[in-house]
Amino acid sequence: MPDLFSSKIKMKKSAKNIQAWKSVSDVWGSLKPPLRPSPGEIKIYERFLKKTLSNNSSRRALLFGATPELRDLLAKYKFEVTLIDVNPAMVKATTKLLKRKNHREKIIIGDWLKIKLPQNYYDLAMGDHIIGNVNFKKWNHFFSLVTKLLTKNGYFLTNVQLSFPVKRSLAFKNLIKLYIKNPKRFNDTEYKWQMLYQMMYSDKKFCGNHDYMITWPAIPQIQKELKLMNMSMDIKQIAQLADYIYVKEFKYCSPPRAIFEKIFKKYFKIVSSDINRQHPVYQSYRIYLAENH
Amino acid sequence: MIKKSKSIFWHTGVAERWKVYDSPGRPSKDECRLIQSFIVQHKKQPKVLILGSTPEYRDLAHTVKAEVTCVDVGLGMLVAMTDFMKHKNKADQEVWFRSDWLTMPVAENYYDFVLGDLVITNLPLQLQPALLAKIKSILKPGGYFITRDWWPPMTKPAIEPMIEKILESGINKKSINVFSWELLNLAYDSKGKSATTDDMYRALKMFQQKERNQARKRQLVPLLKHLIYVYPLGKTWWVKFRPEAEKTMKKYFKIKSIKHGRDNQCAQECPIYFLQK
Repeated sequence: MPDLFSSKIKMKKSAKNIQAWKSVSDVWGSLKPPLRPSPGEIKIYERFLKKTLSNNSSRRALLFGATPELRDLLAKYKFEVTLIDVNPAMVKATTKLLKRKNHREKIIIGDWLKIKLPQNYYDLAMGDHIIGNVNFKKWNHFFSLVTKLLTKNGYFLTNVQLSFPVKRSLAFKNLIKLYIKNPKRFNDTEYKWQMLYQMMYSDKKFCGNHDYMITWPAIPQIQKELKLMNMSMDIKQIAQLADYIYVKEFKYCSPPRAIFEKIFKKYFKIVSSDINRQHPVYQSYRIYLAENH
Repeated sequence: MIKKSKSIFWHTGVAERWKVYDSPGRPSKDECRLIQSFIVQHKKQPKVLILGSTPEYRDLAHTVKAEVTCVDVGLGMLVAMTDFMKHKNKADQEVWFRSDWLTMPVAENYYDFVLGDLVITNLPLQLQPALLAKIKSILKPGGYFITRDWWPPMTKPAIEPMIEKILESGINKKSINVFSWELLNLAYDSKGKSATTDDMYRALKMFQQKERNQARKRQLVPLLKHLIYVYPLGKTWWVKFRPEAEKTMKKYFKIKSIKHGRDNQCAQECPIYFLQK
């Protein structure tokens, strides 16, 4: 049986960002937290998910993205799931990682902002780090869309990456030096990402104020910076530092907590929020449980 | 209920066999032209939902600049069938649903047209009204469900002339498709209102076993092989005779028109229904 997805999928959804997600799907299985939900975050998700179950016989969930950990969680609580993702390769890659098969899972390949789904239908909307992938200018549109799809007292459960609180700035040059000095330390992905966040959120090159957009240093950018600094590193090391995934430019939106909540509260009532306190890297990853207004 | 495992297996193989299919197994050029001109006459830049992955329908929908949604039980099928499209690059603009048709999570009153090729017959008789009701719910008021259907024969055709014909013309893409269709008509069970590929194969196999002419018996071996490749075992279609089928359709739609293509010899048995909500 030929692999139906392999080459043909490349032409599907051709935008730059989608290509970046293609590279994510290639390595998804090998990614570790914080690039995938950590066990601590899964516990928070589960705790919040249980809160949505009371007095509710129907369990219809709308899942933005194909995160396998969330699909397993929804399968555990017997949700009828509709999953929306723009990239079929991502869906295929993550489906292989599922621990529980949900035979009631429906998959939609399309743009979150353009899909026409039944209104007032879902009891729960869910997604891991989804809002950061939506352009800040379209947040109101996205939240409004989610409220329409949810039932009157439906819930929205999502992890939001807010601005990383930089206590001590870390220049790109110093990050590279830190890595060269002790590359093994960077095998701890949580530590590595803590350093990366610290560097990125303290450097305006990556963290522009315009629409709270964060632009990740892709491999060619890192090479360029190294050249400017007269430093050398082989491509394997660079790839390891960049976690193999950011081959092309990748952007996401990450505002301060107050800004996010101000917009969010226009559409939802925040029931609860929490962070994984097991490692400092998660201090800007806040999981929200909110109720439809 | 439908035998899910076998049916899904049959379905996933369709993409692989699509290149050997010809009309009436897939819509002909003239049938597509009829549908396309109907859409153009009724709506500019329509919203079209396609039941399945039929590349001809996806192409014609893109030709009329439609917003296209496809619903299929397999994503692999949607990907694979893209290869058979003329406008492959337009697949980027499509929205794909991996879902069954009865429970597809689609917005109500949204689509101008729903297209499906021989789709009703894919569902057991007891589920067919539910499919029509679902299609009606997602169509805008006045929207159309356009579908090719199958009118099974009132009297069983004889097998011998079919075999004579194909052995005379030789086995090629066109002849094997027409032969398979005729054999499907032969396999139609008017009591059970269904036809199966198993019965098609059985009918041909029995004929071969009874054949006394050894030369002709040998000629039937490749025919059996081709048949089982084009229409593998394990597939059932459920079909009512025309009056009964239309009675069900009329519960949900107005039959605005019935048209037939002119470019294939089985077109009279494959009417295109234009059903209005």
